[in-house]
Amino acid sequence: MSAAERVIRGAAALGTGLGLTFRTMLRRKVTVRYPVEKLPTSHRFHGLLSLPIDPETGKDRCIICFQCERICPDRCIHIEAEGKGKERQLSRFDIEMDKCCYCGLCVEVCPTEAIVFVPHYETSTYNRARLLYSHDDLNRAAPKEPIATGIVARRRP
Amino acid sequence: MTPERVAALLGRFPHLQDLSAEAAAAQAQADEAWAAKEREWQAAAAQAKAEGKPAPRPLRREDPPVHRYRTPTFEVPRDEIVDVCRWLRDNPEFDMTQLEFVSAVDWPDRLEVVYLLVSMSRAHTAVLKVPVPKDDPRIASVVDVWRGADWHEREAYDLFGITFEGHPDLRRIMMSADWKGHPLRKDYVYEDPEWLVEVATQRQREIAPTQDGERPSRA
Amino acid sequence: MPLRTEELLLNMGPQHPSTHGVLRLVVTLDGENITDVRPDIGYLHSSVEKMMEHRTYVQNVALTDRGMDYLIALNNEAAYCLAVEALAGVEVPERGRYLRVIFQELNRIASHLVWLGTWGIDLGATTLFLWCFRERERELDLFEQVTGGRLHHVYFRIGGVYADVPDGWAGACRDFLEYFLPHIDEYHQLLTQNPIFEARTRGVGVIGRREAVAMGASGPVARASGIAYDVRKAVPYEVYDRLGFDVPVQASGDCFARYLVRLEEMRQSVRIIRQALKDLPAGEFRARVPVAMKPPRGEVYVRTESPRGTLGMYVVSDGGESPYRVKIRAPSFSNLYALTEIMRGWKIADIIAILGSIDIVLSDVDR
Repeated sequence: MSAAERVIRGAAALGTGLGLTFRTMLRRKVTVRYPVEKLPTSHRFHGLLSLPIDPETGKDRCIICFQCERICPDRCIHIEAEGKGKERQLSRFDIEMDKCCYCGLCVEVCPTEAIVFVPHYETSTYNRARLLYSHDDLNRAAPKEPIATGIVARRRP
Repeated sequence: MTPERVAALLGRFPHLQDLSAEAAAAQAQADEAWAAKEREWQAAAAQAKAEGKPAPRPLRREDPPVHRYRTPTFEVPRDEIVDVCRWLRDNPEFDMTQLEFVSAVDWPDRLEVVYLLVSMSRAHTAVLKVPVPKDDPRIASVVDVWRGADWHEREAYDLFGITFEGHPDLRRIMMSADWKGHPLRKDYVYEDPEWLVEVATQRQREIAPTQDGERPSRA
Repeated sequence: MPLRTEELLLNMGPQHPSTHGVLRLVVTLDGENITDVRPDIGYLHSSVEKMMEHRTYVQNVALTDRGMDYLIALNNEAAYCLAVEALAGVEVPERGRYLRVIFQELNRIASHLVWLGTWGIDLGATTLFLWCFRERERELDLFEQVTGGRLHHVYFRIGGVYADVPDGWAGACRDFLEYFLPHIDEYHQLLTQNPIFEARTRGVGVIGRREAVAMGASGPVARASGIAYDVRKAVPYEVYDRLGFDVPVQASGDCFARYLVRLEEMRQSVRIIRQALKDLPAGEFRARVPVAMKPPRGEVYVRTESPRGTLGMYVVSDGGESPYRVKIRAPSFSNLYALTEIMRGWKIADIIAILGSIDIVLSDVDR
């Protein structure tokens, strides 16, 4: 290829590229000014964990089976219970949100759908102590209405 | 790998042990024993039924203590590994041009160096295993056969403490040069290095005043 | 006074923006020419293999997402699940397998888009970065609708996938492919003929066929050197044997060839996803596997084709609840070795182009 040819070819290619860039400039913009505008999240989004309150009983649906505590790969869920038989009550349900890896295994194994994800993602803080979520915090974090994730609850094997 | 190829390999290197075949034989033996037991039980059940007695307790099968290999696996003596590797690579019948990795498994009584060979043209895979004693984990390097073994052997040296003799540059690769111990060994216990403890304590002291100590409140 | 020259020792990294992670290259320079490169890896070593020995088989799926290559979480999960399934003899239902293929290929596209964008930035093409991430964003939305995660999904399970796709997702996926295909042509228009891009990549970082084999290179790096080898074709897993696709091969072995191979791979991925969406059978998507599964004693090695090359999983079970040993055969590890070995003789500026063209993720190299 001669030098002249190369120059012409290069200029043509540059022209194509720049033309494309220019045309893209006229297309609809896709950027979002984040803190002001926010994109919607999907119903299945893995955000905060929460324990929603059952409106019938006024309490959450946890039956203290310790399955979520056992399956958690990061061991960030801590459950303690008091009493025996029907009197058994949660005395502690803490999640260390700084350790949580948002894998969703706890949500999957829960037999009563007591622990669910909330599509809330702005959880950063300056103080690590704020990321220890107690039972009350988890109740408060729950959505007002149940979220339809479309995930059929896992059948026991 | 076809039986003919296995036979050719074992014919060339008689000290090799075909672990997958041995495991399959042990498995077959266990299956047979189980079948015999089952037949016995069925006979006993039929007899009990005829005599009107309750049936004997059903049998529960325990998993036989056989280590099953789902890839053709050969145990190679320590001093033959380089020859076996070179032969497998150069023999057009095998054509194992690719070394996928070199690693090790720490068993209670020995270290096992694992070589995974793949042939791209013949679409077969083989695992070579070399048991080495824990108190003397030395083995010849295969860098001369596959250049790509370089980093893999360094990794096995770093994480398992296996010395590859003849390796051009056997240094730690994942851990820092002053690390003590070999992390992937089962008896490895992690200890914070002194400097880290010092730095962490210092940092703790620095951030202590900013902790408000009260329960966080969230909306 | 006579001119005195001496070799210069230069540290590139560990926090150099063009090293795609924390990689340190100790480069010996003679003027602008590289006389020696000594890579120093291990800064991102998380010892995921050791961690896996202390967690159950089911929990380990979550580890494969982050401990290994974080850009191809679903491909990692697939390799791990395939290995454990082979070990325990679990049969995955048809629908589960098809869904897995769809998601692995979507993840391949996402990974190649990140590679193209960041490599573009390395070579000075900022536009490309924005464009690639624009497309990737739409794809991550698709992921989010199904798996709930954008980068770390934990979607595959031993025995299938976690949940079925929601109603209307297949349509959205088809729309995305429809939208995405013309953009591959745009990348070609933007780069392939561009004289600056050509000058920086064509004939740079050549790795020969024999060298690539001997040094264990795999994936697009090997295919750009004329090795027509793809695990999906050679040892088909999931349902790849039923789907039609081509394996793009280039002979020249330079950075430009690697670029062409990856662009074509994206096109083939689109082809695979379209077929899989068309054939997607109804029914179960997950086999029943106990949470505390204990595969029988034994060991298995499973190979898959990840976007970076051959991703292998060697799992040893001693009959317990957690694996006795997991060895991850990381594709980037061997590819990085191969490319740093051939860097000698090129110019310092070529390091950026060569490193970028391997498409390494240091989390995969160090594990």
